[in-house]
Amino acid sequence: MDIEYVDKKVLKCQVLVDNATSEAQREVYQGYLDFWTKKLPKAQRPEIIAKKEDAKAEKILEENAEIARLEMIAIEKAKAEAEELAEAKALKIAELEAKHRAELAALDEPEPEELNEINFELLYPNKKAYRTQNGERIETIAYKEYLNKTESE
Amino acid sequence: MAAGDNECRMRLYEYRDIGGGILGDLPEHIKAASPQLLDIYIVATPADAAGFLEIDPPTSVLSSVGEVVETISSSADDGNDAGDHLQGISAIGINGSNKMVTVQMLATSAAWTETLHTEIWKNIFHSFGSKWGTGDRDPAGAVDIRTVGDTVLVELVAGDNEGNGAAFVVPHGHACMLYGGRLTRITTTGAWANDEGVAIRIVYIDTIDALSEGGAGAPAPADRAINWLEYIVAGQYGNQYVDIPKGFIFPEDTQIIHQDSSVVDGGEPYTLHLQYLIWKK
Repeated sequence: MDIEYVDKKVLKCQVLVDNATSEAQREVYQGYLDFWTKKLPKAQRPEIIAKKEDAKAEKILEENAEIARLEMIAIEKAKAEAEELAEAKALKIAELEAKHRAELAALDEPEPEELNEINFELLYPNKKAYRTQNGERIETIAYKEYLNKTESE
Repeated sequence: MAAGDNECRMRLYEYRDIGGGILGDLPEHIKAASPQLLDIYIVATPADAAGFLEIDPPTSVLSSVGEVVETISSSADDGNDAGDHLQGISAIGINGSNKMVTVQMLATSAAWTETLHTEIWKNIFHSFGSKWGTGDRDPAGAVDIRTVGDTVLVELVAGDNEGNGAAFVVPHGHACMLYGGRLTRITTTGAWANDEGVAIRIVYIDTIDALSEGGAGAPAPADRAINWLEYIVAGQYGNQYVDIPKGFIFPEDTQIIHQDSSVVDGGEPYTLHLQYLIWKK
C-alpha cells in the first residue's frame, strides 16, 4: 500500500480522535488510527507515536491550565465571600454597640423619685429624705413637706 | 435480469414533498409530526431455487456510534472538474442527531481521491449518483462511501448511478409505518407458469431480537423472534400482483430487511414497490 496514502490516513485519524464528540466515537476513530498506524513501516511508527504523545501532553497541559483557572475562580469567590461576611459582621457589631450605648444612657438617667431625693438633699444638706425603722425605709416629715410643696408648685 | 440479480432504488421524501393527498387518511398527530416517506422500488429476479435471500444488501454496516465517512472513485475521470463524469454522490441514512437524511457529498478534487466529509453518520442505507460533469451522466469508475478505516459501506459500480442497499433501520426516537406498496410478477413470454411464482418477505428485527446476535445475556436461539411479513404471487390464473396493505407499525431501532425467493425453483422477474412513513415520536 502507498505509504503516502497511509500517512495521510494516520494524520486524518489523529485529527478525528482529537476532535471526537463522545468517548464511543473516540474509540471508533482510535481503532482506525491503530489500523493505519500498523500499516506504516516500523521506522515511521515512533514518529507517529511521538506526535500522539505530544498531543496527549498538550492535552494534559491544557487540562492543568483549566484546573488552575477553576481554582483561581474558586479562591476569588471565597475571598469575596469572606469580605462580604466581614462587612456584615462589622455592621452587626456597630448595631449592637449602638443598642448597648442606648441602654447605658437609659440606665444613667435617674428616676423622678431619685431626682427628688437628690434635689432635697442638695437643698437641705443637714436633712435626710428617709429614715430606717425596723428595717423599713420611711420618708421623713421634712421630705414629705418638700414633696407636697414641689407638687403644689 | 438474470436469476439472483436485484436492484433497489431508495429515496427519502420530506413532508413538504408529500404533504398533500396521499397522507389524507393519517391521524392528525402523525401529520403534526411532519413524517418523512422512504420509498423503495426493487426490480429483481430470485434465484432458481426456493429459499429467501436478502435483496441488494449494503456492502457493510456502520458501527451506529456516529462517525464521518469518506468518498472515493477508482477513476480519475470522476471529480470536480467541469469535464468529469460523476461529481457528487448522495447517501440516505441516519445522521448524528438520529434523523433520517439524504446528504449529497461532492468531490473536492479533479481526480476523486479519498475525500473526508463532515456529516456524522450512524447508518448509511443506500447511495445514488446526484451530480455530473459534462463528461458523462454516470460514474467512470467505482465510487464508494467508506469508513475512514476503508470499509466500504455502499457503492456505485462504473456506469451505474444507483448504488446498493435496500435495508434500513428505524431511527431512534422515531416510529415507522408500512405505508402500502405492490408486488408485481412480470413475464417475458406473456404466459404465467402455473407451478411457479414469487415470494417476498419484509423481515423486521427489533432491538430485543437483535440481541440474539450474541454477547452476554443474549436470548437463547429458541427464544429469538425474528419476524416477517410475507407476500406471494403465484399460479396461472388471477391477478399477477398483490397490494401490500398499509398500517403495520415498526418501533424505533428496528432493522428492516427485504428478502425474495422463487415459490418453487424458477426465478421469475418481479417489481416490488414499498413505502414507509417515518416520524419523530
